[in-house]
Amino acid sequence: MIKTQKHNIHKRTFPFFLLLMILTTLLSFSSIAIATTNTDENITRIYDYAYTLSNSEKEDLEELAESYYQKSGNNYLIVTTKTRDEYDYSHSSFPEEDCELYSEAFYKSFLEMYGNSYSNCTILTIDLSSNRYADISGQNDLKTKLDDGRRTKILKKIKSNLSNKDYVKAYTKYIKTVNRYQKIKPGINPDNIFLKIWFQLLISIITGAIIIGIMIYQSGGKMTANGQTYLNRERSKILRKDDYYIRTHTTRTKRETNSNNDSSGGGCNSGGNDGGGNHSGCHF
Amino acid sequence: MVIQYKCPNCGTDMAFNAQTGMLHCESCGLDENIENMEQPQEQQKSGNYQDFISQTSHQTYEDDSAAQYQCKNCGAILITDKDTSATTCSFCDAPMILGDRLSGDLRPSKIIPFSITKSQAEEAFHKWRGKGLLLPNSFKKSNRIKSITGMYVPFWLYDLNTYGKVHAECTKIHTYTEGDYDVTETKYFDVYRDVDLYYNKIPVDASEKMDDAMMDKLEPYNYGNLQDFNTPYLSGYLAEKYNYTDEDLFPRVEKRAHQYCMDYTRATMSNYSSVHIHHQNIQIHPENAYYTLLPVWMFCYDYEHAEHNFMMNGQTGKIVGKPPISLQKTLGWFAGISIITFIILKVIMFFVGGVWI
Repeated sequence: MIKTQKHNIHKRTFPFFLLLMILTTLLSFSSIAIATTNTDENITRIYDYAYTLSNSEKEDLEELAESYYQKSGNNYLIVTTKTRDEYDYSHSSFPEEDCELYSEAFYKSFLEMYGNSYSNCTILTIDLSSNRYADISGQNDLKTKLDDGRRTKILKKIKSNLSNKDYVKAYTKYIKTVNRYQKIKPGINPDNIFLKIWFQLLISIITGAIIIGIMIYQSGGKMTANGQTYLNRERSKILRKDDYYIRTHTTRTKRETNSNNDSSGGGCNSGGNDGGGNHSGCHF
Repeated sequence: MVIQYKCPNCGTDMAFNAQTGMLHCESCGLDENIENMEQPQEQQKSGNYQDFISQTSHQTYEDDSAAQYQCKNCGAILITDKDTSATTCSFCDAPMILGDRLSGDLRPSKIIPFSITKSQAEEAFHKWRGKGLLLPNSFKKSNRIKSITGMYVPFWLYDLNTYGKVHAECTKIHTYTEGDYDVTETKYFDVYRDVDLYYNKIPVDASEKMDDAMMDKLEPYNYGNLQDFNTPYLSGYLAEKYNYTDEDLFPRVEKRAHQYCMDYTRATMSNYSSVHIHHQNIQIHPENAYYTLLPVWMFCYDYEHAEHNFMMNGQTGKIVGKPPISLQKTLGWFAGISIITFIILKVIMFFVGGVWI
């Protein structure tokens, strides 16, 4: 008897486990597909000319960037400067534009050093001159994957850390967020609540609870008779049916031009294109 | 007064057969049309209580809680509940109809006879148990029906006129985009509805023993088979007389009619985005109330040292009751539904975002 019951439980739970297994398999396939890039070459991704990091902090960040490179094949680069003269470029009259040009020159030098196979990059350029400006750019594949809206979002996330000189936190956040955003199809808001696992779990649990609640409520039979069941249609009538129009109230709200492209707020600007990548920048 | 129908062929007691709609003799198999039966209570309709006693009285004792009747078949003395109007002799099992509780003010005007036999009811109940997704397996598999009783439950069926005047403020919302702006246009309307509605035969159970919510859930009955009351229909079943008059129960039906009227009126405003009722005046006038006996199969089920009661509509087979719920199954279903929802969400998000997040 107990054996049969156990057998039945197994029979019932089997489909759920099967679905779980399919999901797990799909997930692992997707990570295997991504993790195909591997190299023994030692690449430097943090160029801290402004000395914002200690040696150990720098090492940790290099490790983090390397680990993400292993997973995604993308290079998340950071360059800091106090003078903007570590690389050659033709200066403009605006410090912000100079910062972008500096970033492009840095990218060029990076490619010269490691070759075009490392061209999928994002660059966080921190200008610690009197300008105090942060610039993020996406290069090659990451131009579209890291569009205006996403770059601005990242800048907004790290702006306060940069202002507080909490550089490690800002850089870590930058690497992690860029890596998360680049996985999501361009054009989709990467911070959409439906993409958050806790929200998906919450929705699933609420759905389960509601359906079970209805099942329990209806387990003892439900009321199926209503007014229509007993209405005498021949005798019943509507004596008055008047609908008077009174007024119209109109509200206009400025459309959020796709929350993905909210480049306006936070004093950040985006959309620059200096010779290669797409840039967004922000004073801090 | 005890009424018992004897077979004209062999003299055995006859009982109502739900399948054929006739009185049936178990002994010789004779089926007798109910219309042909002698209707003793018709004669006494205008008579008084004393007449019953002088003619066929076997009633020997009565107080507020019980009454004593003598079976004409075996002579046994039967003590019945004060509300019982039909039963069977506990000694010889002969159907007994207590005519004095079915006459005068207590004479039902209509009846829906049983369409489902005892064996059909039992079979349907077992099928229903088998289908319950949350019921414990032990409840589904074991057969612990303690008793199945066919009972005619007293109901009042009300014919009502409902006159409703409703004034509401309704809105129609239209949204569109204009350049960089989302525009929401809300149009306000003053809406008046006067309705004159007639409802036929809304049932309200008149027995104090029956759970009102359960009785309401047994609806609807098919009134196509609503017959004028005739005593032989009760033969072989339990029946009770009403405890509450139509006047007593009017507030209950009034509440329902009020809701029905509001539902009807609201349905005429379904073209609006929102409805806010400013004023409502609903008057409900009773037109008629029929004292009616409706068929109910009652199941008493023994499960884990507790009795669970279930009711079945004796005409349509609809079953209601409070079955035991298995915690294990509830959790299993909850987990299953939640996991499936989660997987569906994941798949949708994979197609939207291009990644398993």
